[in-house]
Amino acid sequence: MCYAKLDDFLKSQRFVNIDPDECLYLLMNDGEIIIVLVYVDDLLLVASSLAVIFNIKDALHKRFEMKDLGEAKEILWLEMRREKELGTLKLSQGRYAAHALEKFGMAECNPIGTPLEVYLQLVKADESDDELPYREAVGSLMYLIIGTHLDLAFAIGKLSRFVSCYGKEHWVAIKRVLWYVKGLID
Amino acid sequence: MTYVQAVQGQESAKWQIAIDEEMEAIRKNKTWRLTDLPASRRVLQGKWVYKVTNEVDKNGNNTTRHKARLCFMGNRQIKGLDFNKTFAPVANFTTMRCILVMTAANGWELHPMDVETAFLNEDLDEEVYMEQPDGFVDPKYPEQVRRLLQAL
Repeated sequence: MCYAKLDDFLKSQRFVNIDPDECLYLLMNDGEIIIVLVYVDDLLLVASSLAVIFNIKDALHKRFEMKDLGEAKEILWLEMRREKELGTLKLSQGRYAAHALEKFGMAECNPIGTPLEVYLQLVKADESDDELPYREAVGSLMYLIIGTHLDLAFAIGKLSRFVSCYGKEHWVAIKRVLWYVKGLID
Repeated sequence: MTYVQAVQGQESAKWQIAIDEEMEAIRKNKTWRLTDLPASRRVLQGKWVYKVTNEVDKNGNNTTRHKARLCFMGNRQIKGLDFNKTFAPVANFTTMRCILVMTAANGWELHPMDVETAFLNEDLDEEVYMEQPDGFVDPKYPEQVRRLLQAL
């Protein structure tokens, strides 16, 4: 399915594209509100009542081949835990963090309490050591920052200055961040 | 690896098979047709991308398979000139967080859905032209270009 077809379909259902984000569609009808958020081939349906959700799901099923995932438990590696009575929705990225550790061979590492050494001074390496997946590690950890773990922001902010000139000591520093992440999921 | 390296290097036989398979698939799907380039249009390059994948065969042995994919270098397209819409709609993360907050605060329902067949075999609405790929330039009409009817 091409995005254009989905776009046409949603507009035919009187959805309106909200300007700042092309992927957000909104429909307000009889005091009910429906939002459709498009993420490549994942859709997130949000609505003020279950009945409305079922309506839009039916319409989508008729038009496209889709898989219904029921109530949201995880979107884009963001795990969600809701307590509707309390009006809370808690996000976590434990699965993502474990996946990232696995990717860098750190699944079994020892946890540590802080993400960086105190007073860590790093200098540019003359040439990046392409053997080390340094940039990948920075990227993976950035997703944790924007998702749930702001506490990594300082460390990754510091380490990301060296993505074009990293060496062994930078790799050691980012490994320490991964150990810290290990502590977070344990 | 370039086309010349692939078809003249050590594993040229395997790469040639892979390239032929890809071309056969393109022919079968009626992905493109040969045409003259209209004066007002830009033509972009295609590029062969080669990959060796590890696979397990029928007898449970590990083997490797050579794959060749012809890619359209869409990264050289210019918005407004070659296309008007962005094709992979990626929602802004901030937008999503906002929606999650509103959902929690208002007690709304939140249901994800997956599209099963995403972008395969869709007809293209735009006029997109590609140079004839390495190794498959029509000897009679080397000046002509391929108009893509489907996404590569």
